[in-house]
Amino acid sequence: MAADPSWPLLLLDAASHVLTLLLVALGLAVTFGLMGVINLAHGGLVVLGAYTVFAVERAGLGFWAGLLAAPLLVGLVGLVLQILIVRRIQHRPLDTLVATWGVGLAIEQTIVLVFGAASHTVAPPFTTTVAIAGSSYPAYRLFVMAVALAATGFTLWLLLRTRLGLMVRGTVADRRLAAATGLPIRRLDAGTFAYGSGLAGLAGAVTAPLMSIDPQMGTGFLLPAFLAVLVAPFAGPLGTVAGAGLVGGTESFVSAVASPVAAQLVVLAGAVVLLRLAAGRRVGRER
Amino acid sequence: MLVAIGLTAGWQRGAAAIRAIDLELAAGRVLAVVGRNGAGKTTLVSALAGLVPWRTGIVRLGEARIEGWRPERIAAAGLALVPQGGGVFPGLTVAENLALGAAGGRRPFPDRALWARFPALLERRDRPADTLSGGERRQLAIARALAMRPRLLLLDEPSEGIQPSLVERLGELLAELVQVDGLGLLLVEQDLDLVVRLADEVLVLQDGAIVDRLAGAELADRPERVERHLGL
Repeated sequence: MAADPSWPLLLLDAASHVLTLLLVALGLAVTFGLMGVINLAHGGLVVLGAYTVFAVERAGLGFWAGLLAAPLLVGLVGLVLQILIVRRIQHRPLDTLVATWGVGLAIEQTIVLVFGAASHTVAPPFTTTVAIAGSSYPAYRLFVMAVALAATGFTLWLLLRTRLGLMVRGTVADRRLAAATGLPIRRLDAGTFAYGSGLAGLAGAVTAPLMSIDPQMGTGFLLPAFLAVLVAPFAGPLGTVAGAGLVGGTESFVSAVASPVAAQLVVLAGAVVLLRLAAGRRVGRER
Repeated sequence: MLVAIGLTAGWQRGAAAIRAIDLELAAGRVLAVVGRNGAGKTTLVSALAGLVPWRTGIVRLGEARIEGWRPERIAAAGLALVPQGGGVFPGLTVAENLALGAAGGRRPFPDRALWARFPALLERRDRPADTLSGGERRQLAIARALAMRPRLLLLDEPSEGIQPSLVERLGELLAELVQVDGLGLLLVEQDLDLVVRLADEVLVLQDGAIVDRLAGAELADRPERVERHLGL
């Protein structure tokens, strides 16, 4: 029997879904996975990235200027958020959760005030297609996948191959010793949080042309991204690659063979089981 | 030089606080602190490193008053801590641990002189710190602190948990740091032989306060003066 020609496209769609999720989860892997900050404003930061590219494009500066501005602006917002709020309460998880949830709501409502509650669209910078297995596939989706892979690679390089990354890993390994060793832990915290936020901004900006954007779109990103970080088989961005593959891959596969609703159910049911196991593993790691 | 006058520090609740501590530590000198478990020795070195909140007193490092300074600023000013039972970054390799020490002291790394002093660590440079033996981990903790190029070193129970032959080598290393490198050492130690060998001055701590102070040579002649405070 000849192979179904739609399978390569389904696989590409699945890869696109996984890599989009990875891009959103990568920022969380930094702020939550590395720093342990339960940042419920992450979804709001993704939305802010999407609306930055929308606003810059509407101002006539073009998509690419928006794509460049989004991670910088959202990173700056993350920096201010860390210095004014997170720094003071990050050792109290429940307070951090409530405060960042509040910040997420504030971002959402500010966007409603400025841009309205209705959804908007961002035109992709190019609409060309690429012929794959006899079908045409949007080149912009391939570009988004490339950005996700590049951002992951850059983050891993930064963490594993640079002195700055080593200082971040040292602070994560033993914060008290890092301080006694003279590492600038407050600046490292602020910079790491700003970087994770910038990644959220990049995720929102680069995926904006793939969907209609609205002030509530962050909620849809937040849950699977948290799951991807939580079920990661090991800590750090590399674990998140596997976590995003697991969550995004399952979602895509079940959507293709059954329905998107079934996919949501399977992912949530699987998440309950995996979170139970992951909680035990996290406690073990902390001990 | 490190000078503390009337230093009182401690967490509001929990671990023993220290009260009205006066001490002076100069370059090329060894000041030992002895006392029973819970006397406040670890609180003292942690407080000097800025890791325990200070309540009252004056502390000078060189010409600078360092009360209220954050630990990373104190460390960068030349005061390095080797904490009790730890002092290495778990999960990071030997080389990464030393690179972090160098980064904290704003120094370049790799440091050939440091590797030459610790050849066993050079052989294990790519091993994770938590896979080293207890003695090797102690060496790494001291080497990490030395990579910061400090002027003064605070050592909390450096001989704890390592075998006697290694304590002998540890004593040689510490003596070399003082005599050759001119470092000042504040040594919290239970091993009185090591204290007698190294210390210029000995402080006896009890319930968070200094109850006796004597010269190192005096301790060699009259060990009972300290032993009674230690319950030996």
